[in-house]
Amino acid sequence: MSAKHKTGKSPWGSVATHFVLGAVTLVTMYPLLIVMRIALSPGDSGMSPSLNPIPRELSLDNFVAVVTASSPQGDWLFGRQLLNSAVISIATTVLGIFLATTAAYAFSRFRFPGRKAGLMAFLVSQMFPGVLMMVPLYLILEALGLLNASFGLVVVYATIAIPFCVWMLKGYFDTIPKDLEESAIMDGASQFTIFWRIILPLSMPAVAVTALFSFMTAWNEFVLAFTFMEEPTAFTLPVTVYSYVGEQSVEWGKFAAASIIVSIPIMALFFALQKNLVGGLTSGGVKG
Amino acid sequence: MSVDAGPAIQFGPRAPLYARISDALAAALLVGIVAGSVLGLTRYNDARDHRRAIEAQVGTVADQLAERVVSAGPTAVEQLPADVAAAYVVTSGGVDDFGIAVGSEVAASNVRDAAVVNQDTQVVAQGLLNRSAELQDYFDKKQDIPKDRRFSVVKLSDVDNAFSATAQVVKDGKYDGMVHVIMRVPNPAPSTPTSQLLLMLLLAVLLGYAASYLPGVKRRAALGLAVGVPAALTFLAQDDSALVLWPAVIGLVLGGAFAPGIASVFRGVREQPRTYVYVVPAMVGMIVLVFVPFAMGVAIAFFSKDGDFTGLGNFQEILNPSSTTHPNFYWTTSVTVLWTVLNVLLHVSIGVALALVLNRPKLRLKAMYRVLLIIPWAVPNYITALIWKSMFNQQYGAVNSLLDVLGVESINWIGPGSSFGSNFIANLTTNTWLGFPFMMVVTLGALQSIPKELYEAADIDGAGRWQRFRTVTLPLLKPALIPAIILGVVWTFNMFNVIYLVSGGAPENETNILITEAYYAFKVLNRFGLAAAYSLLIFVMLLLYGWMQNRITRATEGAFE
Repeated sequence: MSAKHKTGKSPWGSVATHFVLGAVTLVTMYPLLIVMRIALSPGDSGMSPSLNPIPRELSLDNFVAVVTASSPQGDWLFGRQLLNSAVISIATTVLGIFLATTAAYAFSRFRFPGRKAGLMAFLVSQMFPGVLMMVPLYLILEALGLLNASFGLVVVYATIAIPFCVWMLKGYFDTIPKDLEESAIMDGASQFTIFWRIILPLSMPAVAVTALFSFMTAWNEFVLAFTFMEEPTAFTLPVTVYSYVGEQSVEWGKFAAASIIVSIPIMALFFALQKNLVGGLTSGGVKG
Repeated sequence: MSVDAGPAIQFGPRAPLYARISDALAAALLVGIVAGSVLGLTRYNDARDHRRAIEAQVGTVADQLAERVVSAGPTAVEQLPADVAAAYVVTSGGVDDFGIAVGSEVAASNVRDAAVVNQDTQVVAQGLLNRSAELQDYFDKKQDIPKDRRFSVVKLSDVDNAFSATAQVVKDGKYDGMVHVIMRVPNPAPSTPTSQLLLMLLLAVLLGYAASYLPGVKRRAALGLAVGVPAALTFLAQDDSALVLWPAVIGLVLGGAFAPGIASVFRGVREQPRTYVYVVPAMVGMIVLVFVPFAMGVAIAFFSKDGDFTGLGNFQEILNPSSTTHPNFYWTTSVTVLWTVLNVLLHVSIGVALALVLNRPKLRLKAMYRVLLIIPWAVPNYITALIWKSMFNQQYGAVNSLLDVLGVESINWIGPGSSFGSNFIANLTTNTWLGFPFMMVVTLGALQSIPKELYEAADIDGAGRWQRFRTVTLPLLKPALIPAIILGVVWTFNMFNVIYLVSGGAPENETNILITEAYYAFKVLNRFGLAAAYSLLIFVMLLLYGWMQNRITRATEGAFE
């Protein structure tokens, strides 16, 4: 009896498991297959009542239209916006990792006045509704001269990502035994050496997840990018993706193609980091 | 929020100098936040009023010029004073299929003394030309202003304090061209000068310093005064007395509650400066870009649409709705709670169930399933929402196609005239799709850390499958799941993108949740004070929820050790 439960050797049990998993995976993947069909069909013709996810007529027109999109002044909008997105997201990731790892290290290893309040404040800040912050953020960026500047977006995105990342990293750092540091201190290592040479290398899974979250925050955001930037050449890609099905027009074909292009980097990162995601997330923040 | 106590310090006549300085700085910091956020807000309101006045002024100049061009001909442009750059632009390429004029050229311009607007006459003329091409299309779409009176005003980004206004010239009922004017209007002096705030910060420093001469509760009360009094005095010159009273009350409360804790942080900085080096970069970022905006947002909630201070007026309007308001706050709150509970229930049950299946030791293709099931998390959620919106399209959507195959009549899910239920289900489906992978990943991680010996022990005891889940798996999943559920509740409660992009609140805002209702107040009603009041109510609800959940489950208990 018990042996059967533990290993699930019964062939019917295994078939049933795969059947259920297969069905759930199909439901999960289906919307994405439809997006592929819409993107790969000419114009908006992929937007049809058919359930078949394979396009009736194959065409890369939508991708070409999205990639070659230009402004009336002749600027290559897609190229500029891709560059903006990449630069802003990478800068956010670097800044986010720097801010989150240092803060999480202090919260994990030191006891100081304000520690508990700081951790609490980070947690509570997750509850601030975005609508409340938009106008004040605009005013502050204006006062700091960071409106219309990519750096302004980078700083905002990095701080948006900090609280979650700090909690996650702090939880992960907490699980690293202190013996290592104590012996390092005996050997005369400085606090920074311990952080840089011991804690960070041992926390790579959690740091990778931090990087992923910071990158995603910047790469996927469009409301602030749209609000803080004036010129279309300064927009990030999500602004354009949204504009294809915004208030002015409904171009499902272009939207689908642009969605795929925008999603590819994030998907690639998820696939590359998915092992870390399972480990880094749980031994970290969510454990508390 | 309590702040960890530093080493015991006796406040009173013998307190060390650095403790006095810490108190002084804490008072000044809080005055900066309270008075600064209100000041920033009044400045914003002033600037907006000023901007509106300019728009009317510059727009009127353009409008009158357009009339004069009709009556006196293009040379009217050249008669404008030299501190106004003006041009009359006519279309050169005729009109296209949609009635939109194509191509433009400058027929007349007064740009002689270019120093007024720009260094180069050419640049101004070209700038006018560019703007005309840009606005051409815009004008023909904007139908709500009478055709012969249409003007728009834009602030120029490349010239300081310069505004461009454009008005359409209509001759004999036909579009003829447009006039542009560019004017420079200086900024007015702010009603509350910055020097006044600086003076009050100095006062806060002195009062805070003095407070440290008092022991115990007296010091706390004195710190409250050290924040409240300067915060109020900053606005003494304003004619609105409420603007003096409210900063005083808020400053008093915040000062009494938080100033001693903040002071202990400043003392800590002196005692162990190296520790704070690690926290300061993140903290400064959070204070400037998260906590100060939050404080300003809170301040905004007490102002009306026109920038007048209304006290609790916005809250009253929300909490005490007139009988004609539909959906009112209580309806929307119920929908939000229902939305959150159902979503989190579905996320957790689907996520945990999938994780349990995927965690089977001998499952084949495990890695492939896991990767494919994580995908919804990787897709940006605004894209997910729009994809599902297309799936729920009555004519072309896959959902109705599937129903058709099953022999069920197609349903008008989110189109005009659709019902509350179908819109709600569409939202729920979308959010369930994008939300379960997070719970699945969290559970998978937690399952990996459960020692196998525990299951073996359960097997020896003859426990069945359900019993093993209930007695071994579930208790060990709890520490990972509860914080994830708290986060899930907070995220779902504020899940703007799905509601806004899938149902858009249809029918008649009934499926709106609180955050989309706040956005509606902001964007459609143009009432930011009301939106801020909504947001503040959302925050209070979430805070209460988090506090209660934390008390019951002690989810964050271990984190503070």
